[in-house]
Amino acid sequence: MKTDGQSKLKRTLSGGGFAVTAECGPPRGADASVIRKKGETLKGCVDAVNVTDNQTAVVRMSSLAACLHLIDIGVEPVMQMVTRDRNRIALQSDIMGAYSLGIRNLLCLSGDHQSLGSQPEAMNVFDIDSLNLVHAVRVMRDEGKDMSGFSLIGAPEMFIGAAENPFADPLSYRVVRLAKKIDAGVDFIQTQCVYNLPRFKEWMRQAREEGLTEKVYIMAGITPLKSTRMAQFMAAKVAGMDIPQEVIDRMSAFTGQRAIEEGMNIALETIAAVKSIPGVRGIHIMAIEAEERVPELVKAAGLSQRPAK
Amino acid sequence: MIVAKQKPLAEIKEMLRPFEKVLILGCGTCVKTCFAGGEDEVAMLGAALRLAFRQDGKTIRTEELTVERQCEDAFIQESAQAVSRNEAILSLACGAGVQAMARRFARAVLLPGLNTTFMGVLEKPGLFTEECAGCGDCELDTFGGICPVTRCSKRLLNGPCGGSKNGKCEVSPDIECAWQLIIDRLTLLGQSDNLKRYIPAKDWRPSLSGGPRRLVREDHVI
Amino acid sequence: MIKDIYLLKAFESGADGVIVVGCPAGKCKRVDGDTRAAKRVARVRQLLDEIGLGGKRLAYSTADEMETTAAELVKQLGELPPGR
Repeated sequence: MKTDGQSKLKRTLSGGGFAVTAECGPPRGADASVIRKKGETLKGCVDAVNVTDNQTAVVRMSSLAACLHLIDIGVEPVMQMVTRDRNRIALQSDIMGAYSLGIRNLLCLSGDHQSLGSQPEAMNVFDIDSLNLVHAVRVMRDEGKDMSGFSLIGAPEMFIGAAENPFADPLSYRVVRLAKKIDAGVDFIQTQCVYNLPRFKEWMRQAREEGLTEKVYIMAGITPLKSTRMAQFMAAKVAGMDIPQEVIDRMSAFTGQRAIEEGMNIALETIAAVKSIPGVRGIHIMAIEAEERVPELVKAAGLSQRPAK
Repeated sequence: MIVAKQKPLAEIKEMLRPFEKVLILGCGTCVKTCFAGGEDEVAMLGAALRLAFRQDGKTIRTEELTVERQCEDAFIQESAQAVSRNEAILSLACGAGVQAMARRFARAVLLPGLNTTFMGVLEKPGLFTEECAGCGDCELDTFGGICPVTRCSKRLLNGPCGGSKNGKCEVSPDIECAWQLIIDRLTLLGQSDNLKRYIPAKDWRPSLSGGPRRLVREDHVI
Repeated sequence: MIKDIYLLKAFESGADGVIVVGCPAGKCKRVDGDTRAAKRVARVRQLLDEIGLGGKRLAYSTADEMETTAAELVKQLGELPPGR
C-alpha cells in the first residue's frame, strides 16, 4: 500500500484542470468484490471516486475499508465521513489511520439522520458537526495537531472537501454557509446534483461576488435521470432536490431505453452548461446504482483521459 | 417543565399483577401540567385499573394520593403512612420523583407509571414541545433564543444540513427546522452576523455525557 | 362540570352504558364546550377499549340527537355482556 504521494484530485484541480469524480456505495455486507467491481468500472475515466459512509443511514461496509479496496485496484478514493456515527475521538483516529493507508481525500458531512435508515433504534452521535470536522482536519494537516493540541506523530495531509446544496432552503443563507466552510478549511466542494441551471448560475454568481471561487474548487453534481418515475421521485421525496418541471416533462416523453438516453442527453447538456460557468472547476457524477453509465457519460462529454496528467 | 406521558394501561397492569394493595401516588407540579400524573390522572388511572382487573375477575385495592412535588422530601414525607399501608407504589411522577421516593422509602416497591421524556413548554393548547436538552453550557444568546442542541435533530451548531425543506426537518414534517427558525429570528433581530461566526466543537463535559451531574451550593450546606 | 372520572365511576358502579349529552352544535354557551366534550369522550372511549370493557358502551350526543343516540346505544348494549 503506498503511503506517499499527493492527492491526484488535488493535483488536477490545482494545476488548472477540469476534474471529474464519481461516487460509489459499499455493499451491505463483507463482500469485497462488489466494491472492487464498481472500482474497475470507474477506473481510468475519473480522477477520484467518492466512497459513501453508511449513506442514508443504512449499514454498509465501512468507507475506510472500501477506500482501501479501491486503492488496491489502482483507483484514487475520496473517503466520505459523517459525524452521525462517530465522535471526535473516533473520527480523528480514523483519519490518521486512513492517511497512513494511502487515503488522501476526505469529504466531511453531517450525515442523514439515523431515523431514516436501516437501524433507526440506534443512538446517534453528532458530537461535532461537519464544519467542526473540517476545521479539525485542517489543523491536523497544517499544524500537525489533534483537537487537544497534541502534536501528532505524522500529520494526515488530507485534501479536504465538503458538500454544499445550492438548491436547499434557505437560499439566502447558502452562500454564507459556503463562505463559512471555506474559512473552516474546505479545499473543494461537491454540490447536490444540478438540474435547475438558472438557480445554480445565480448561486455561482453570488459565490464569485464574494470572492469564494478564488478560494475553493467547486465541482457541480451531475446525476443522469433514468426515467420519469425517477425524476418525479427525486423531485418529491429527496430533500434539497430541485428538478424543474420542464426537465420532468422532457423525461415523460420517453420510456425504457429512450428515457435513459434522454436522461443522458440532459446530463450532457448540464455538463456543457456548468463547464462554461466561471468558477466551476469540475463535475461530480452521482450515478446512483448505475456506475456502468459513467464511462460513456464522461467520454460523450469529451472529458476522457483520466486521471489528467 | 418536565413532560411525561402515562405508560400504556396494559403495561401498567402487568407491573401491578403481583400486588393486591397498591398506592397510586400523583405529583402536582410538572406532570399535572402535562396531564400525565396529577390528581385527576390518578383518579382516572385508579378507576381504569380497577375496571381492567375486574375484567380478569381480580379485585385490586387502590389507594390514591397526590403530593405537591415528588422530587422534594418535605412533600413526599406526607405519603409515609400511605406507603407503609400498601404493597407497592405506582408513582405517577417523572423519573426524578420516582427515584426520590425510592431513596426515601428504601423498602418500598416503586413502579413507574409514566415515561418521562423531555424538558419543554406548552407551545399551544394540547401541544408540548422539547426545548432544552440540559447541555449545561447555554449558548442561546448566540442563536437568537432558539436552541440548536435540542431542536436541531443533528445538534448542528454551524447552520442547517442539506435536508432542510420548506422549513421542516428531514426527520419528520412535524419537526420545524431549528436552523430555519434561527436564521429567521437572527435576521429579525438584526443579528444575522452571528450566522457567519464559526462555532467550535462543543465541550460536552457539563452535559449528561460527562456523567450524572450534581449541583452543590455550599452556602446552603449545613 | 362533568369530569372524566365520573364516566368511569358510572361503570364502576355497574352501569352497562353511558351517554354524555352536550349542547346542540354551535349553541354552546362557552363557545367550544361541545367540541371539547366530544374529544374527551373519544379519549375515554379509547381507554374503555384498553380496559377491556369496550368503548362502544360510551356515547356522546348533542341534545337534539339524544333519542337516536340512546336507541343506538341500547341496541349495541344488547349485543354486549353486562358491564359488571
